[in-house]
Amino acid sequence: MARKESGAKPPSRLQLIKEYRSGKLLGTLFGKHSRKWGLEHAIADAISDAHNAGDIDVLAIMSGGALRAIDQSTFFSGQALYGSIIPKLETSAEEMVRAVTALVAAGGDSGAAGLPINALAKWSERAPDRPRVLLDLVDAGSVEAAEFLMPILRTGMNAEPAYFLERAHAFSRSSHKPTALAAVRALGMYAPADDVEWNQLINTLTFAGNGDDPMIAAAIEAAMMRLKEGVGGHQAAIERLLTDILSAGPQDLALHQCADALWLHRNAISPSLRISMLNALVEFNPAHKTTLEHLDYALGDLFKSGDRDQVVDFLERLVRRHGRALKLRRFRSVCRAAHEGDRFGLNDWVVNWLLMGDIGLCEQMAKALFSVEVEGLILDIDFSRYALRPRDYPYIARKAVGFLFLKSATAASIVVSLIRSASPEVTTELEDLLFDPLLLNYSGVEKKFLAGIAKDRKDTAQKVVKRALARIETYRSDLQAASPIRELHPSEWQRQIEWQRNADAMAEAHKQADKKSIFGNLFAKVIVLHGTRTISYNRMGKEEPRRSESKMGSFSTSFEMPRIEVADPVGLQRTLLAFRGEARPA
Amino acid sequence: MKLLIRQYVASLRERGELDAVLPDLLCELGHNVISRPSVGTRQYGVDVASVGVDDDGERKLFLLSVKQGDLTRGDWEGMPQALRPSLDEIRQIYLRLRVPQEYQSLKVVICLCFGGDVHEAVQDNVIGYIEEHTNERISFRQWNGDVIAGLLIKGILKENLLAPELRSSFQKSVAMVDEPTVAFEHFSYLVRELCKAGGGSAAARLTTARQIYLCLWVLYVWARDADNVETPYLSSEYAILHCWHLLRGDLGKSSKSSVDAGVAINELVELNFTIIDEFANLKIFPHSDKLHAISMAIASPSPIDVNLKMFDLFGRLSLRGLWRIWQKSEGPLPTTREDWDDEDLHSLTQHLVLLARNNPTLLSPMQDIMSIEVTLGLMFFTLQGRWHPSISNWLEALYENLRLSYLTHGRYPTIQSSYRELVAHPAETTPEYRKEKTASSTLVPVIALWIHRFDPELFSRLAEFVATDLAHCNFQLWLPDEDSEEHLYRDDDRHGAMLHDLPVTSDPSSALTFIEAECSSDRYFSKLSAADLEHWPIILMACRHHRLPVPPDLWIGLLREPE
Repeated sequence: MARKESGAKPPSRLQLIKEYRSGKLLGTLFGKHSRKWGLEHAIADAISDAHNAGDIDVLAIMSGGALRAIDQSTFFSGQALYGSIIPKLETSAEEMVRAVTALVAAGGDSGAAGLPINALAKWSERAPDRPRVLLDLVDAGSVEAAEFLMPILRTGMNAEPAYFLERAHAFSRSSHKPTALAAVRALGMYAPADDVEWNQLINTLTFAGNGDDPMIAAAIEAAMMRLKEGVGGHQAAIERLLTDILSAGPQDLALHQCADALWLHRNAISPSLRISMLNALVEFNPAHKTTLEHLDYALGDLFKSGDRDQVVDFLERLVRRHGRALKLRRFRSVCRAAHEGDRFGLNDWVVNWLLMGDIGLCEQMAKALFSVEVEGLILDIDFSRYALRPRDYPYIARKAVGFLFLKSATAASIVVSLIRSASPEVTTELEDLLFDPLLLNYSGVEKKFLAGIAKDRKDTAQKVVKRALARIETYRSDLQAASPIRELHPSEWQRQIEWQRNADAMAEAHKQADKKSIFGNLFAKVIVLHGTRTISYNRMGKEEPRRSESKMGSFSTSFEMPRIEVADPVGLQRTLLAFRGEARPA
Repeated sequence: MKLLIRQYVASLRERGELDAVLPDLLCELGHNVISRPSVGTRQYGVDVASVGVDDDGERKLFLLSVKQGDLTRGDWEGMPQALRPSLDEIRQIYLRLRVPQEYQSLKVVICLCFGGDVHEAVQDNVIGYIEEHTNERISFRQWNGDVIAGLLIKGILKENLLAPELRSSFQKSVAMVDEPTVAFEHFSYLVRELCKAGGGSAAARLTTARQIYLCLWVLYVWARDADNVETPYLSSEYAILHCWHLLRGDLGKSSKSSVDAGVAINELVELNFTIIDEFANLKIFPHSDKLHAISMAIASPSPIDVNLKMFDLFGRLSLRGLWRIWQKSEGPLPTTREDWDDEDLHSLTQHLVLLARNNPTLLSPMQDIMSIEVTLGLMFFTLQGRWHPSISNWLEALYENLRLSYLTHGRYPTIQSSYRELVAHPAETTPEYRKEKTASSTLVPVIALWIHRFDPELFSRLAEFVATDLAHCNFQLWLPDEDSEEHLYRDDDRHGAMLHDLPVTSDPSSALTFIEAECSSDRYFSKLSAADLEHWPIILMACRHHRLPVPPDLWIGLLREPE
């Protein structure tokens, strides 16, 4: 109990000194409450004051070996605290570079390296001579300092613009790639003061834009920073620069930068530049998950803001370009935006792609827009909006059935929507499709969707739906009249084998699902053998164990297997493939 | 045992059933049967007539008048086919006009045969009638179910079937009719053991055949009551094939024993017809025009169950149709006729077409050995010229589904035979797995040869598919060899030869010529007793039952365009 309370309270100056002297200070600063301490100026100030007064040395204790001994669960709390205190420390540039390097290295590939580097930048900004001292270290050949060239140049350009701008432009042409990249990025963060500086910047970015992929990415990043910050009369030049870069066929990093820009700086991008960026992004590598995610966020925002056609058009090009290598369902933000907006966005997308009938597009759309999360989705589409020819109606219905067969309610809702605005000459064909294969395979469609329509006199599809339901009733009666034929039943032995095979398949599926479960990885699993509730005792520190009782709920899900999958699997497959492959009638 | 037989006798129906076993019973009791039941011919009250020695040692003429079940007042008089008018007809007409000259001097025993008992209400009438008409020449016997059961045990089953082991197998097969696999196992054991014991003399072989026939009847009647005739159907095929093997040496001669052997085989085949016809007419044909009705009646969640059962059913009905054609045809091999002028045959064919149309799993065989059922079906349709357009439709669907299921790693025909493997097929969707499971085929050449005959345009597409995707597959056909005659009917050992590397190429006639050349040498086919005695459906039945591809000798002639 006592230890817990002392951990929650920040240590006093005396305690800091005591722990420093006993060699325990690093452990205290990397404790589990360190993050909270870092957010309170008073605590950060107290620690930095003690350091600056020479009572303790928070940097000297931070060696690579000592940091490696820190528990990973508290490391990032300590790193956050150091992020707050580093800018306030009085120390030599060499020592600061050494300590920050150690801190960054200890963070590994966690992506949290930016925090200490930002702290170093802030430290550099605190005194006007620090950027130059740091740059001197770089010039003197310090490999560690060279790693921080970008923040050094950035802070330097604010402190001594003339000197650092000259150095940065020079660095940008360095044959040492990391140096050149750091310089271009730093230049992007500096707002040119006049036309001369603008021209210098544009020249440097043009030079970088002719470099390799990382350089082009850096150029795009820098140019976008300027666009975002405002470029005054130089907008056209920057956009032209970007358009030229994009039209030259940028590669992975550059495309990633484009996706980032579309997502993060959408408002700074003009419509024409957006078109250039999307054109370039058609070529992005779908295997690059982060690029895809950022592109998805960008497209999701675009869809929500009303630029649906542009998004759908881009996705169409993307699918056509990459085929199955691209999983449209991974554009979760776009799909969510389509479902959350008014129904026209989703409906137009679905109708547009079904009408095109391209197998790749429709397959991807079915998986992306009609995933398990939207099981049973009923679409109410006003097909009179699309100026279709009568022969397009059954064609779209077949496409909907072909691609959304497993989403039977959704497929049926499209067919019913078609019936509502179809001319009489094609309603029989639509009724046939509603009966076979939808109703023939899924009785759930009837119960959950069509039964309601059959009762609704105001619904223009009522008559057709009633006829289809009457046909399925006759079909069911025929099946009942024939069954059972005991001579045809599989033997008990065969039934057992089939049952076992099914049980094995379900068990394997459960096992696989369990492996992927988010909760499974977060919590310890307890197999409860009997009963409907659990009782457990939890001990928190040295407190008395607390009893907790939980009533167990049940969770189940059901799905309907297509009936014809048993009676005629090959025929069913053939029908669906024919529907999918059908070309739009001339 | 007697209870079992007693129940069987009580369940028999008059026409074709109780009177069907009585002649065999009389034969086994030492009688000379001079008149057997026949449909449509007026018999003046007599269903079966025989001459035999009575209990008093005197040779007499026995005239049997048969009724089903219990004898009620209605059965006695007042209804068409009632017993009393039949007895009057026997006395007044048959005895005066129909008794052959050589038996006219014999005393007459008129047997009132009924499967059940005499109802009390009519007992006095029967006794009164018997007392009134008994005289020096004519006497009467009441053979009720109990008496007939006793006579069957004494006369036919004899000591063989009273042995505990066989009796147990027989009883188990009857008791387990609702689990056909088990029931058939017991019955087939019974058949094998009876054949083993009864192979001595021609008379012993005949007795064995009659015993099997009676047992099969008992099994059928019990199974019919249990609403599941699967076991008797399988058992009837097994019995026919074993009895053919047993009696084949006695057949085809002019001696009495040869004629009796022929009658015994015929009776077994007729019983097979009874079983399949009743099953089909009652349970299949009323629903053959209903979409998926029969497929769903299989009541399994597994597509392979539906496929296996539907093809099995299709094969049985095709075989029934081929028997029907055989009955109307002549010659050693089947030949096509435009019209067989047989309404029942026409109806059966129509039902088969409806079955295939409404149970589309019949367009997608999932096992290569279903080449048997496909061949039986194709033979059946090919033999009837008027049905040829249906063949093209079926072949096209077979080809399209074969191609689609193969290309999509679906349920393409596999060479696997174990059910456990079949339900999981395809276990993998890799090209290697697919290649392994289609390493050989008897199905593709059959389909290809028939397509060549009926749809030359489609053949070029098939040849292209074969060249592109089935180049690894070895096409084969099964032919009998010198061991086949010994093992074909009983399937007690491996026999026959596979003609492999059949050339299914873009040259449509290459495979046909290849097979014709092999068949023309006719080394062994015509030496099969069933071929020699022109009973080719027996070979088809053996192939169906024992899962052997149908030898091309039987169908290659059908594939040549008519001159």
